[in-house]
Amino acid sequence: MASVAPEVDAGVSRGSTSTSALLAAVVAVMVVGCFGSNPVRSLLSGASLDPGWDVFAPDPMQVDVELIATITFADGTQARWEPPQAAGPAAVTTYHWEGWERAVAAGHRAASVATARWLAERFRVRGPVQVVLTRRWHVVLPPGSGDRRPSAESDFFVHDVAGR
Amino acid sequence: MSPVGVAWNRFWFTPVPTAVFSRLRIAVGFLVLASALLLVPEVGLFFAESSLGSVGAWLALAAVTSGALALILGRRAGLGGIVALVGLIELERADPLIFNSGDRLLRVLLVIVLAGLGAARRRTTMAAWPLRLVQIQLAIVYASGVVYKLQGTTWWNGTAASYPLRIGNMARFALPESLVDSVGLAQVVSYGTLLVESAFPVLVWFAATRRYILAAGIMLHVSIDLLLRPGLFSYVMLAGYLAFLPTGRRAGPAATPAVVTASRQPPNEQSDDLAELLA
Repeated sequence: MASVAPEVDAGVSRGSTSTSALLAAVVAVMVVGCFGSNPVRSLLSGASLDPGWDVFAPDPMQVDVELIATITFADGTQARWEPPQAAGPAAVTTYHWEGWERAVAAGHRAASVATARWLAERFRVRGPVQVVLTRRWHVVLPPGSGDRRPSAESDFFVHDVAGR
Repeated sequence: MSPVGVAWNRFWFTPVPTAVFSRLRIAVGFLVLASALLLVPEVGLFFAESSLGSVGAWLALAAVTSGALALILGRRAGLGGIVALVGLIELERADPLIFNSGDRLLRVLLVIVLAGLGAARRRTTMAAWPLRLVQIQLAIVYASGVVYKLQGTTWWNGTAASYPLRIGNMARFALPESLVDSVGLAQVVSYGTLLVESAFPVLVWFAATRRYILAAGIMLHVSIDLLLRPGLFSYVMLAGYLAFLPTGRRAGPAATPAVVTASRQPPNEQSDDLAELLA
């Protein structure tokens, strides 16, 4: 292709200088914003457009954490509850639970309170008196180690329904 | 105009059929709708104690739903898109714990679609720049993903891919231990992921390699979605791929010389090959 003749140019629309400048700025923001922490990224995060694409990076999570709730009723009986995990094709319907479960199990106070109250309400007809949240976790070892660490378990939040 | 200026104009402002952008708008609309509907069952938990409260969350969901429908139908899509975006942002601010990178990317694509709506208004062709922004955004997602991954150790030794498969609320299925505990398989998947993610931002700009890297990317995201629980992430990425689909390119090497070809073809059949753009 020896030269780009004017006819070729004629077939291509020209953008205005201001549009071109704006596009260049947008691309610069996209690039600068996604690496490290900088004012551009802070600005975008403030607008709920955080451009950090560090999925499974720098390393994927290596701790398996589960949340378990035990609801005690006025008659002394108990019910056990775990966050829902839809199976197979329906898995997408419960993906919001992943982050929620992890946050609660990590001890996020507001999420723990919300979960306990929500469970008390959910089991209201059976007269709940207490909700206990338990975290169970184990370290996921590198593949090929042929070892599986036993899970540890601890109660970390108690909600007395009567004291609500 | 200088060659750089010509290449710049070709890249950003070559007319493309508005239908190409419309399918992106519709796909984003459906994903926004899905993101709202998926929140419905647990509004009472996820938002009850948040700044928005349950009532505010329901209002935001109604806004997102109506905005998504406007985007899908193409009626008052601009207003609908803004309403949906505000709703999504309010929901994310009220409870950031439950959203992931797929939701974040969906908001970014929604912003780009909103920006492009003006260029697409009542025309059969439009400037390519909204599609270009989506293309660049996806390339950045992959490129930055690789940069972040290479800062860890498990991507270097090839074991990274095995961890999410062994974490209860990340894996979609409980796979046999012999598979998820296999170092060799983990390395194939980990290095394969890095290969696709690092090749994509380069190869996708050349017509000769585009279809192959898009196919590899589709396989990557379908695999992720089949094995893990990434929410809408894979769907959002694949929606972004719509910006790379053919827009009616000119014929291959047998075509007549560029000058003649360009003068005879409608504007929407300009090349989108980076090598040709820079020639």
